[in-house]
Amino acid sequence: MIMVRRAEIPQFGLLSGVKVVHNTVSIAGPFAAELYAEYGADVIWIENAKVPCMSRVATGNAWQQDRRNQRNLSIDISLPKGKEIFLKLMEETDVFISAARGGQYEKMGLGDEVLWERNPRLVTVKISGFGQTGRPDYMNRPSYDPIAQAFGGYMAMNGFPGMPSMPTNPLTADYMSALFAFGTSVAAVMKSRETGRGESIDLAQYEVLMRTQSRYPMDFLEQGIPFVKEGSHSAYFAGYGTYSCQDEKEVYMLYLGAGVLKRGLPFMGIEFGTEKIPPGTNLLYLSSPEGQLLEERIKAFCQSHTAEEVEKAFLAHGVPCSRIMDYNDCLKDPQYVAREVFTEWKKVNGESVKGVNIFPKFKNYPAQIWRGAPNIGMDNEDILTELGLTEEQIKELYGKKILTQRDYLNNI
Amino acid sequence: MKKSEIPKFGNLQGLKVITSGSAIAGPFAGALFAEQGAEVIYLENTAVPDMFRMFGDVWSSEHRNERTMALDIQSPEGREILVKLVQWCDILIESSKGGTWAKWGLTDEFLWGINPKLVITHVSGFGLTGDPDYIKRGSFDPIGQAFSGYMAINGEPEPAPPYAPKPFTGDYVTALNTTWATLAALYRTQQTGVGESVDVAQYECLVRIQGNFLLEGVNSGKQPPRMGNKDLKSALENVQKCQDGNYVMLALGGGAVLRRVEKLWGLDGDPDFQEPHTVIFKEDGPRAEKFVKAAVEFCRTHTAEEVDRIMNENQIPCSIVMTYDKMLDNPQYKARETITEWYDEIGGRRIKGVAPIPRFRNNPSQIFRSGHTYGMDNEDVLSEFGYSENEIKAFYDKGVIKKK
Repeated sequence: MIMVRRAEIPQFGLLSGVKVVHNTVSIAGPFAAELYAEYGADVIWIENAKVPCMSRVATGNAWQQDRRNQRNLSIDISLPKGKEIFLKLMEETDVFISAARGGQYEKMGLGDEVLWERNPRLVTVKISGFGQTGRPDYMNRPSYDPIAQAFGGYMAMNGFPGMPSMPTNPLTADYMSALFAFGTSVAAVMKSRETGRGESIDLAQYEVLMRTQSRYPMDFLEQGIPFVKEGSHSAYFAGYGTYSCQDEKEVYMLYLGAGVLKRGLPFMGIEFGTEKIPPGTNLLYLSSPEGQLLEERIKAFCQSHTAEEVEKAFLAHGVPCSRIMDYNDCLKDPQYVAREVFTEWKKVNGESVKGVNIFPKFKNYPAQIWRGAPNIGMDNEDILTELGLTEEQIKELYGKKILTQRDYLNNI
Repeated sequence: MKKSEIPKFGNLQGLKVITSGSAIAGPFAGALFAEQGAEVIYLENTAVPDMFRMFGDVWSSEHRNERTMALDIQSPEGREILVKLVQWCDILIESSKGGTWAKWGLTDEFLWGINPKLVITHVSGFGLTGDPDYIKRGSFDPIGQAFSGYMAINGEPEPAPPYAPKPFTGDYVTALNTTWATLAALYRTQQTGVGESVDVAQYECLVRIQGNFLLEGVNSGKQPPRMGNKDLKSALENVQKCQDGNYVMLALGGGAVLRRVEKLWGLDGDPDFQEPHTVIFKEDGPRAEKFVKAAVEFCRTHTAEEVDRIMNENQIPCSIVMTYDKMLDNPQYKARETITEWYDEIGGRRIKGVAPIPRFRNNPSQIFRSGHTYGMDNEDVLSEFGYSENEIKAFYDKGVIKKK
C-alpha cells in the first residue's frame, strides 16, 4: 500500500496550501473536494468506518477518477472519541464539505457554532437535497440526484413530447452542485482569509437546478408559458436539431443567427435577403413554408451523406454542426487527441486506469494527477500522527473500531 | 448606475470583473460573481446586441447586479478604454472562438503588460489549443453536448435518437466551470501577484462530468446504451404516472430503502424477498415482476401528492416531477423563497425569478439591480475612468459606444 504524508503531497496548482476535509458520499460532495485536490489542495476524505462509500460499488470506475489526489481517513465521527478527533482536524481546516439531510450535523452536536469555536475561519459547505432551512418535513427527506432533478423542475423539461419525463445523465444534479460547492467555498475562503471570519454555505440541490434553467422559469412566472418538452429537434425552429445520416450516425446542427442563415441557407438552395427572409433574419420558424423547405433539404442532404461529410459540409458553410460523438468517436477524434482529453494514471495498487484529464487548462499553475483514489483508511496513520496522536492511541482506535482500514481496490 | 450606488455585501465584495461574450457560457459567470457582491462590468458588442436579449425576461436574471457598456473594443478609442478597464480589474472573462482576442492583438501577454496580476479566462467551444480546424469552430450549447459525448448517453434507448438535455445544460456547466476555475486562479494570484490564463473549452466541461459512463466507455471500449427513464440494471422504471396524471420520480435502491418500501407494499413476508438484496435487478425473476407490479399499482391508485407524502414519511426517496405551477405552490419552495422578485429595469415592473443560490450565512447574496438595457451605464463607467462629457459624446458619434 502506498502511504502519502502531508509533507509528500507535491506542491502545485492554484490551491496548494488550502486544507479541505469532506465527509460525503457519491458525487456532489466528493467531486467538489476533488476539484480542490486537482488544483493542489490537501484534501482529506473521511469515509464511514462501517460502510464503504456507495460509489465504490454503485458507479463503476468513476470513483477512481473522482477521488484522485485525495487522502482517506476512515473514522467513525458519531462516537465521542471519533468526534473529538474530527474537531481537532477542523482546527487546521479551511473548508469542510458535508452532505447530509438538513440539520443532521446540528443533531450530532457538530453545528457551525461548535466548529467555529474551534476554528472561526472555517468555511462549511452543507450539501443537501432540500436545504438547511424551510419545512422540517422537506429538510428531512432523503435525496439522490434524480430526486433533485425531479423536485428542481429539471426533469419535467427533459424527454420527448407525450412521454414520461426523464433525468439528465449522468448525475447532472450532483455534478452541478459540486461545481457550485467548489466555487462558492473558494470565494468564502478568500473572504475568510481577509476577515478571519468563516462562512456557512447552505447548498440545496434542487435550487442549484432551479438556478440553471435559463429563460423557462421566468417565461412561466412572468407570462404563464409552460415548458414544452422538445425532444431531439427544436419544436419551434427549422434546421435546429438531430439529423440522421447515410451511415446511421447522427449530427446536431443549428441554423441560428443572421450570419449563419446568410451563408447556410444558400448552401441548401434557399435565397437569403429576400422579402420572405429579409437581411437580419436570425432563424426560420418550423411552421413557415421556408422552414419546412429547409428541413426537407437538410434531411435529404443528410440521408445521402455520412455524418462526417455532413459535418464538414455544413461547417464549411458556417453552420454550427457536430457529429453526435460516442466514446469510440471521442477516443479517435483529433481534437480530443491533441488536447489530451483522456489520460492514464496509476491506481494506488499500481495498475493503470484511463479517464478524463483535468480541466480547464491553466497556463501558469497547471493541475496534476499525483495519486489514484485512496483505499479505505489508507492514510489513517499519517493524518492522525499529524494531529499529534501516538502509535498507541491509534492502535486503541482500531481496537474500538472507531478507525478502519481495508482493501477495496481489488473488488473492482 | 454609479460605482457609489453599488451596495457592499457578499464574499466577493471588492472584486473587480470584466465580462464579454454572448449568451450563457461566459457571461453567467459574471452574474454569479455579482450576486456575491463583486463589481462586474459587462461589455456588449456595438455591432449587434447579444442574441440572448431575445430570450425574454431571463436577461433580467442572468445579468443581475452588473453594470454594462456597449463598447467597440476593436476601434482605437475602444481599445484605449479597454486598456483602462484592464488596468482596473482583477478578472477578465471573454467568450469567443479560440484565438479571437489574440487575433485582435489582445493576447494574454499584451493584457499582462497592462496588468500583470490579471486573471484572464477564455471560454470557447473547442479550446485555445489543439487541431486548428476545431479551434476556429463556433459552438452553441447542443454542439458542445454533441461533441462531448454527452448527447450520445442521453435520450431514450435505440432506435430513438440521442437527445440534448435541457435547458442549455452544456452552457450552464461551462459557466460554472468558468466561474470557479477563475476564482481558484484569483486565489493564487492574490498571493503571488502573478496573473493566470484559463482555457475553458465547453466540450471538455461536459466530458469531465460523465462519471461511470465515460470511465467504462474509455476503459472497456464499449459505448454504454442510452436509458431514458429506464435503468441499465434495475427492473423498475423510475418515473411513474400516478392516479391524477402527474408523475413521480422514485429512487429505490439500497438495502434499507428497499426493506421499507417492500414493507409498505406488503411484500416483506413474500418468500421471494427474503434473500438480502440492495437492488431489484431486471433478471431477478418473480421478485422483479412482483416489485414492478406493486410499484405501478401503488402509483396508479394514489395521486402524485399522496405517493410523495407516503414515500417520504417512510424515508423512501421520491419526488413529484415538479412543473413551474407546482413549484409556486410548494411549501419548501415558498419557505426558502427559492422563487423571488425584483424590479426589472427593462420592463419597468416587478419580475419573478430564481433567488441567488446557494445561501451564505455570514455574507448573504443580494439582488440590487436587474439585467441592464443596452449600453445603459456607458456614461457612469466612462466618467469614473476620467472621460469628459464631450469625449463621451464624441464616442457616441463615432460608434465607439452605443445605447438603446
